[in-house]
Amino acid sequence: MTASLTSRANADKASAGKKPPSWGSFFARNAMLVAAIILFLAFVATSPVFGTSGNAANILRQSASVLVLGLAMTIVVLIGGIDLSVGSVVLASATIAGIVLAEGLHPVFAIVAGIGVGAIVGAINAAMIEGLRISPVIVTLGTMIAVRGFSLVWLGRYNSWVEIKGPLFSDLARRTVMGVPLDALLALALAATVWFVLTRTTLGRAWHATGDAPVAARLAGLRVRWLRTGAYVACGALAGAAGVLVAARTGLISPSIGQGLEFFAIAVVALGAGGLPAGRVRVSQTVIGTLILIMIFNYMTIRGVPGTWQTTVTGLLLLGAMVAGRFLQRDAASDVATGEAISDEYARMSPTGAWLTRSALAIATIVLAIVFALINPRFAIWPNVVAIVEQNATLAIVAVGAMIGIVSRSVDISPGSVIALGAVAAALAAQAGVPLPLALLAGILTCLAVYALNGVIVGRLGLDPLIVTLAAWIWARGLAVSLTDATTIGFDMRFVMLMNTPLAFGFTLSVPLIGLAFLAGWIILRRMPLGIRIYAAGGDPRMLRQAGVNESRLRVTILLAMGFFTAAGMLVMLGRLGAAAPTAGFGLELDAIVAVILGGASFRGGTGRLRDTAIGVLFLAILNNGLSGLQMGDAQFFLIKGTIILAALTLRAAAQGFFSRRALA
Amino acid sequence: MTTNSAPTKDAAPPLLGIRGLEKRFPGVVALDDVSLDLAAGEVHGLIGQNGAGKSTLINILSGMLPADAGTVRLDGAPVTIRDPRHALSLGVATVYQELSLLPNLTVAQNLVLGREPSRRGLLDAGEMKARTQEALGRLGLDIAPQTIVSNLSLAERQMIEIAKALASNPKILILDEPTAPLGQRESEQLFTAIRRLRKQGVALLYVSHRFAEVLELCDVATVLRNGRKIVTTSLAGWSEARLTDAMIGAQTERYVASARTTAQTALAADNLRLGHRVRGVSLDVRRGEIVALTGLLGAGQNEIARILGGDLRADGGTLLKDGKPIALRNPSDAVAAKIALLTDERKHEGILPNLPLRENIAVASLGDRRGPAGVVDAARERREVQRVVSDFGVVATSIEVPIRTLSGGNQQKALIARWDLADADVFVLIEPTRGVDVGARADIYRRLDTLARSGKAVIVVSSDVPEVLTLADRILVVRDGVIAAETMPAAVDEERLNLMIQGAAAA
Repeated sequence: MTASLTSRANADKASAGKKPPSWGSFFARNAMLVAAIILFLAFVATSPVFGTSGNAANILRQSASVLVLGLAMTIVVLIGGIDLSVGSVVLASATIAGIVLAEGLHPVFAIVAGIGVGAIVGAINAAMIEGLRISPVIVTLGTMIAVRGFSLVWLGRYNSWVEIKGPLFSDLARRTVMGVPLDALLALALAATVWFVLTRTTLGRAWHATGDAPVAARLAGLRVRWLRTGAYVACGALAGAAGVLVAARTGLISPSIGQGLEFFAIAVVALGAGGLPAGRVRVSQTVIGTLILIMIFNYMTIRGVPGTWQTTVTGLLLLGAMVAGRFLQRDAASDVATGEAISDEYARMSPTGAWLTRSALAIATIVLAIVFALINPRFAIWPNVVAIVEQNATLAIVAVGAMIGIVSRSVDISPGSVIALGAVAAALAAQAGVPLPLALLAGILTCLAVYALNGVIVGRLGLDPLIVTLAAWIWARGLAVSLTDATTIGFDMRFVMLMNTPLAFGFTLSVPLIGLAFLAGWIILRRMPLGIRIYAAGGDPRMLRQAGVNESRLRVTILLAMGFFTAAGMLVMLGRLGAAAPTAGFGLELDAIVAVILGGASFRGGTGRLRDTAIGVLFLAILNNGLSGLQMGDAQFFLIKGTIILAALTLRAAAQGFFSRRALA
Repeated sequence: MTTNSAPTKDAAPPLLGIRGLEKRFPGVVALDDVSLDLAAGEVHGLIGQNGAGKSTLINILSGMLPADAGTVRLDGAPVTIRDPRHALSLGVATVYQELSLLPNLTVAQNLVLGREPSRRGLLDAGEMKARTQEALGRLGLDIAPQTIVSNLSLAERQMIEIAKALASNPKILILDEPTAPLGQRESEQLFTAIRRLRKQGVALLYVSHRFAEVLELCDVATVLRNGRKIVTTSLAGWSEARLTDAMIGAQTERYVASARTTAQTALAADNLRLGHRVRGVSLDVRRGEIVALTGLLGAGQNEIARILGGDLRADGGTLLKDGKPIALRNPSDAVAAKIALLTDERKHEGILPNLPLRENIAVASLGDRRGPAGVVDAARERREVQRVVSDFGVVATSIEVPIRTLSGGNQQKALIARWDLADADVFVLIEPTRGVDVGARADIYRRLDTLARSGKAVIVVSSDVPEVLTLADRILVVRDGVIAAETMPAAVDEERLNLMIQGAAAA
């Protein structure tokens, strides 16, 4: 080369981290470790029981299965995904292991079967997430329900009651090595293994790269989709292992096993890492997160706080960890794991494809109705038509809010929990002697308050709405359970009468309320300036900035608007049930999201029409009603419903893939 | 060179008056004492090479960047443009290069976003339609306001972009390479619209690389070079050649890479096709050779490079690597064939921002250091990464710092080192010096030269003419998705190569 290109290398200044590590940055980097130590010291100081060696063993024992689930979640969060099905996998794994034992096979088979079931669920998750590019949140919410149903069906064959007997299992439950319980040791060994894989092997390296920058990793020659698939399978297998530990620990498999464990798994990862940062979670952080969570649970038990508060605390800790993490790591790139980062090569649909896919849903709805009418003579009669509408009034109303959320890329998975919390607030107020209208107002305001809180966190801190509402999904449900001690509270009969009196053709007030919700949705989306901004916020938020719209204020407005639909849904559910049940609205969020997605809106935002959402709601309404008309148990209901929903989503995604044209950059 | 300074009307102040504008970035003076006047009803061309300061000037006027020094006057009154919204309210609207419409919304919705007309909280549909029709009418467009944008052609969308800018009723309209995505006929439509705006008294600042357009459209042009204004002149009597001269400067140094010896063909492509972007491209590159692909923005050179790197899958065509046919379905196929792709989107498609420099360099060759049970041979990795880091002159305090803390130039060298460690023998680089400060450029050129001398085949996509002439052994000019000409650096000068790129003169 010529002399004109002499070295200018020194002009390229090294701007690399020159600052010496300060105490402040040490705390910022190890905030959770510091928090764990402070918590430990505070607990020891305030409770004579907490610091004893017997209690320490307790803490370790309680930590074992949660830690293993946390490890499972660590791997999927690392690659930029999430898995909500791990709690159900624990039930499936424990059930299968128990059955294998009950059939007299060797315990080793039981353990292998338990882990195997988890791996299979992981593979199914991966096939739908990576193969069909459906959002991991939706897929794993679906498998959460389907796998729970599957397990309950199996458990039902053994009268919902399988006792765990076997040498290996009793060792796991009782043995200690130098005072440390065997299952805790096993969990630590698994943690060490996962740590080793993540930090020392080529697989771990490739997972880190995939999570940190998927497009760059792909161009560096990594097979990103296979790597993610492997992560989901590993996650499932680890969740299966956690199920084996749970089986050994409880000794008795019952339908309630594994419920809410997915909350704990997400919480321990977030507690350790200060959020769910793709590419940057570490095993050591998950271990610390697990210890913090279980120490808090243990301390609560010692202090006599009822166990029903555990979920509430988990959700609030999750939220707190994310908010704190946001403040501590302001400068760092912030890819929160929702799977949206995976959207590198999603394609756009052609108009014909969109039309066909949409008509396909309408046709599927009709076919579904005909099938139910044929197998059940009581399906196609007028009272049942009324029932279809009435039973799904809450879903229809909430779906309008969900649609606004999905179109604006503010996906909300909290409505089911918020409805339960709002209803509980209204019922408690009424019980305390507050007049009916004020009690209802208290319920409505509770719903709106949750959404306002979520809105402020999303808008001001720029956290992913999916993760923020995930925290609310957990803590609002937990609070509803805690406040009622897991009991159902009756509500004012005047309101119940009002909501259940037929007005015309057997329909009650629910129908005008549904109409009102859709009208409101139509006005918001089509007739208000807000509507254009909602579509813009989902389509391409950069356009908002160019147009000078304040995005953070817009997000608050959007979430508040969604809150009104959830509040309305709460009123309908409260009236229909006549009582506030803390379990009410379970799975509603999935139904609502699925209705919108089936209707043709993209999970990535920016598209979607209200009338298509209506068809989606109708499909689910007929499915719900038709299945419950067949007089089957909860187990079969969940299994079949979960399967049909996943099948419908799969078909939709496949149709979308078939009809889409790959858009060139 | 004629340097008749800008202000000619001394009575009323010009609509826009810029005096002594200055903007510095670390290591670069992007704008140095630039002055410029813009009058109502004037189409003012802005010309310069990449890095001449055009984008910086536009960004300051549109409120995206603050200036370091100098004044901007509107109708004689000094203003400080705070942000894009403020710029709009002052009557300065910008149409950026990349399309900024929401494809799923209607034309009307796109036009009113952020300034939606409403009555009692509801959209005023009549007003919305009226505003849209007015903006469309000013451009002479016959498009229904209710049309969904994704159903429009590219040219129509570009017109809607301008209509969107017009919806705020600007006095000054900045157009940044508006014809880049357009064909000849569509460009003509656009020119008609621009002339119509000029008649309506809008002042237009028109940035373009296509001199023929500038000569056809503009009354006056300003030429920037290295952040300084060279001339503002009426264009009467100017030719494309003269504009090129002004843009490049008379006494340009000529860099000629001393001859490299080339060996056998490393990669040969035959009749590659991809939609309307790449329409039958054949090329080859030898070991020890640097081939440059150059062309106007959007001519198809980037797509060709991405096909060679396995990122885009060609609709048709064949590839021979060292004489053997290969199929590239994805980037890992390309990596297996020892072809490396470094794109212009370094931040998203190159670096793994939060991972340490070491892992960034090792990622493409993880398999080479895999021990039993997939364990990475850490000591060997450190050793080898250290070696390429010093080979390629990557400056960092340690190989453990996150790569995002390094400068653009060092990141780029680290990426080249990544592929050298992976033993790639064909390097495909898209705009390798984009976002790299001037000082580090020469360093990257030297690294690429070293690569070629060590027997690698290098393909560089660049729209920077001096860069192409500096680096290449052979130059392929891409126009409208085909290779329109092939030449050598020795056979052309900047002016001639520019003309070839413009399509004004065949080789």
